[in-house]
Amino acid sequence: MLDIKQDWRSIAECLFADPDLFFPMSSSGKALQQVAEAKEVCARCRVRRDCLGFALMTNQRHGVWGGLSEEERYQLERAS
Amino acid sequence: MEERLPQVQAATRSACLRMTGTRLEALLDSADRASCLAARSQWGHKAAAYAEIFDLLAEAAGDPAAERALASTARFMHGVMLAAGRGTDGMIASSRRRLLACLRAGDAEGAALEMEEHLRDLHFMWRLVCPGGELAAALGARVPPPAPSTAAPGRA
Repeated sequence: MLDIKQDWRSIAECLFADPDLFFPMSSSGKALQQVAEAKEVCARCRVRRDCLGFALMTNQRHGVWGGLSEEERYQLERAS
Repeated sequence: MEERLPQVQAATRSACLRMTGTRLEALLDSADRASCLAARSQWGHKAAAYAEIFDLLAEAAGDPAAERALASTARFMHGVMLAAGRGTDGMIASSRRRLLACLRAGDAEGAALEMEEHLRDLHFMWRLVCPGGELAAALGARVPPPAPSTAAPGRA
């Protein structure tokens, strides 16, 4: 059983970041830079695995969660 | 996995402390070769190239225990990368950049920590997608997802 802590949201690094970084409005141009910046925030977040697990288990379709873009999460789902 | 981490951390720390210019060049070349491979069409080759870093660190560490720990980790992580698939490509690439930056700066503690987090991330993803894993079980209970569109996503 995955050990996803229920309070992980309260200590996530993205609480202190621009929310728009995590939900870019396109998949090209400036949005790619936003995704890269969002992933940098995730890389230093100590609850990124909880976040990724939550996103996959609850079928979050859009945005960057746990350091993975929607395309990357889709690929992860396909691998399962 | 947990029992492997202290050995791999120690080996990474040792490799960083004994790093030479030549060995660092070999690590950078290896990372460059991996980054040139297309994840979409060459994931098997790319995963093998990513796993090469563990062997290069083993050579740099220069002691039998570290070599054994890293060689065994190379095989294990190669399997994990193949199983988890190309969705892990971006995460691996960015972790490699941070690890190489630590090695270049001679930051042994930073390198060991980055390696630990990298292994934990990959192992976590593998646990999700492996046969009988939680994601596989959850997906079995719902309709397959559509491919992400290239159009603008809505807000979650």
